[in-house]
Amino acid sequence: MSSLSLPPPLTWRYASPHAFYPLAGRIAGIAGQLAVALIAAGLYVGFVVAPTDAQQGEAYRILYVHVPAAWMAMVIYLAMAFWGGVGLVLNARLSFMMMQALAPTGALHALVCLWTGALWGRPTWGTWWVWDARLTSVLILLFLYVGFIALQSSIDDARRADRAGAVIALVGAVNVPIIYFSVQWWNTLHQGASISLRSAPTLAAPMLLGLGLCALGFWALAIAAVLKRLRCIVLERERGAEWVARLAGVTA
Amino acid sequence: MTAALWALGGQGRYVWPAVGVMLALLAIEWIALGRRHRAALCEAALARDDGEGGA
Amino acid sequence: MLRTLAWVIRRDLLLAFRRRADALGALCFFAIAVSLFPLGVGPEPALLRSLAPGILWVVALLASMLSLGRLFAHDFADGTLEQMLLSAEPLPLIVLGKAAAHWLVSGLPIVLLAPLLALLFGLPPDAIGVLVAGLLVGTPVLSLVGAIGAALTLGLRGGGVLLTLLVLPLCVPVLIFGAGAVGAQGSGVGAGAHLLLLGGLLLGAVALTPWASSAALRIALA
Repeated sequence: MSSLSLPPPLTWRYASPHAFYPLAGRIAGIAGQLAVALIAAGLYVGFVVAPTDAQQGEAYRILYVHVPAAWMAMVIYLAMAFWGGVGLVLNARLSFMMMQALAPTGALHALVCLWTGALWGRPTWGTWWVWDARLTSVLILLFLYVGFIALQSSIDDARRADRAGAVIALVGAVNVPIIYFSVQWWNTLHQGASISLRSAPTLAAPMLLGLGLCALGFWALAIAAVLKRLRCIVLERERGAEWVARLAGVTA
Repeated sequence: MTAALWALGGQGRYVWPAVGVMLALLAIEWIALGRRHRAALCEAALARDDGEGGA
Repeated sequence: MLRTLAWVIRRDLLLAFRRRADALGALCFFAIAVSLFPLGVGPEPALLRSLAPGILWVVALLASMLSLGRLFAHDFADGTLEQMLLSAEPLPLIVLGKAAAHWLVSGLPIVLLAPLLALLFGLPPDAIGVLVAGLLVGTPVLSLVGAIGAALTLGLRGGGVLLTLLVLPLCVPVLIFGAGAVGAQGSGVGAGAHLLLLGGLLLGAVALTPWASSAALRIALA
């Protein structure tokens, strides 16, 4: 059948792990370099160029890493749920592998957000932990990530692990807005807790620039790390395939 | 300015661990992924040698 | 359709009745765990009164988690679950029935015992009323969302703890609104908004979770 010799159309060409592997490598390489440049620039602007805040002193500079980490933790979870959904609908292995690759990076960003949040809270408000809406939501998000990773690692059958993970990721994604709303509600109703990391300084232009640069840098870094992990997962799961053997330097 | 940068008004002891640990975690993630990649290639080679799998 | 639902609920209630000890276990856990808190934080009445809604809600949450693992496990072990998957009746309906039975066996007794335990903490009567109303609306949500977790972790090693890990973060809104309702009542704001939100969560859970649980069951038994 001559139709088999035509390459698949562009939309589907990269749906196979084999085809996507080299492309992922190239993207990861570029993204990694971009990440280093952007984060370096962002930290420079944030620490050297931006002025000291009148109220919070120098400690506010932590927000340059705290806020992008929080954004990434949330965005990565949504991406995870998205690829899980795509995988369930299209029954595509690569989508599930992408979902698997996203989780540890997302959890790491959530952890960084919590760590930096604690270090921001201490000099500013005097305590190591502040039960404000964002930190609490990120804490619950971290638990969602951990649950996902635990579920995936406790199922031996790859197919069942993929699909179960996709279901929990989607259920979690539907819950995230509800959880965020309820945590906001909880936070504003408890009158005593007028502390909020949201009452960050109103941002002047160089601060915004630093924050933007750091945010873009974190995006690039996340893309690079996730694609790098995806390549590892592809190699591990496609272990018996011919192309992997060739890559590993072993001929048939 | 440099002195201010290092001391950060005494709050440097919060800011630098925050940024430092973050960078360290990201670097560790990157390095770990590199090692995992090499390990996966070795596993693939071994699997092939053992005769697992097909085309 | 209602006949199927009634049949599933009746069957599960009958089976639970034959294993009464299992059902009572969650209730005893509720009572014992709640009683531990004053021993931990001290008997000062004002402190206990302010902590009471949170403690009662959290322990109610944990107590209904305890019996979730058994929701599908018994039927899975004797092959009934596969028959349910193959049957002509819609699987979400069957799951809804099982979750309802689970609530009747594990959740409702907790709701009925809660006022008694609330007295231990010195909650005033109107607060107890709000607490019970909240638990009445909120504990079914726990059973419904828990069913998803039970379906996903069916037959897995480390199942019980994994189930808790998966389900507890999803139950945070119920906890917040339920405990918050009592607090709002106490501070004079009125618990109406909280209870309405809980009701909304319940309706949403009834509408959506059976589908997720069915999908999870099919994945687990594939």
